[in-house]
Amino acid sequence: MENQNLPMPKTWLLESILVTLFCCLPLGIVGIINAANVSSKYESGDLEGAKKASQEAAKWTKYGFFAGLIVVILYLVFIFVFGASAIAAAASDQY
Amino acid sequence: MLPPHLTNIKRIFVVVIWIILVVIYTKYNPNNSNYFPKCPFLSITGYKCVGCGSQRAIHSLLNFEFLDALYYNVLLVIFIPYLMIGFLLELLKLKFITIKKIHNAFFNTKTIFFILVLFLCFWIIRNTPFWMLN
Repeated sequence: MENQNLPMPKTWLLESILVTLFCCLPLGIVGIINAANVSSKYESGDLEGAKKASQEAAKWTKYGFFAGLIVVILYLVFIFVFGASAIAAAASDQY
Repeated sequence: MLPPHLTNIKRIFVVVIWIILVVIYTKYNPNNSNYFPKCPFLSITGYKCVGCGSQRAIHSLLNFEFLDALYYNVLLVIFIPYLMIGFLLELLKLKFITIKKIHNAFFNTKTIFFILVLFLCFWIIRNTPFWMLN
């Protein structure tokens, strides 16, 4: 347990929660699972493994963020190209 | 919010983006506008995802309508304090040994699994008739 003296590598948990709530749900959930992986490796004293898991967590969280960003940009482009009325019609079909 | 490795120009850029977002989300109600992105999961499946209602909840919070925010996305409102404390702990964990201990307890494996289960439960339950906030 000598590794407990060193700080825990970044878990990306908070960023993953934000990604889940605002951007891209599936990749956000993957991010949260990866955060648990970082934490459990760190707690078992495997600092190297925790660092690797942290890089993995960072990767998936960023994928999620950019996936969400791309969807938002595509949506806005779509809206400005086809006009808001088409979207309003499509949205009113939903409810 | 402002990672330390950014140059000053990028910092200004980030601050400006934040200000624009706060103004937009305060002024405009996502319910009455088509310019806010809709959830793809809801549009395709007809079921709400974990994040559905987040934009409306943010709009309500920025206008101090806390009950409306709870109604739109209760999980988001619950997690705002958690996220704020978490980011603060991450900033300070290298500076103070006691903060590091609190940080490690805050991010321990059981807590993270609890959050994961909470998210999945919320996702399922908010799509059932048992969910009262519909």
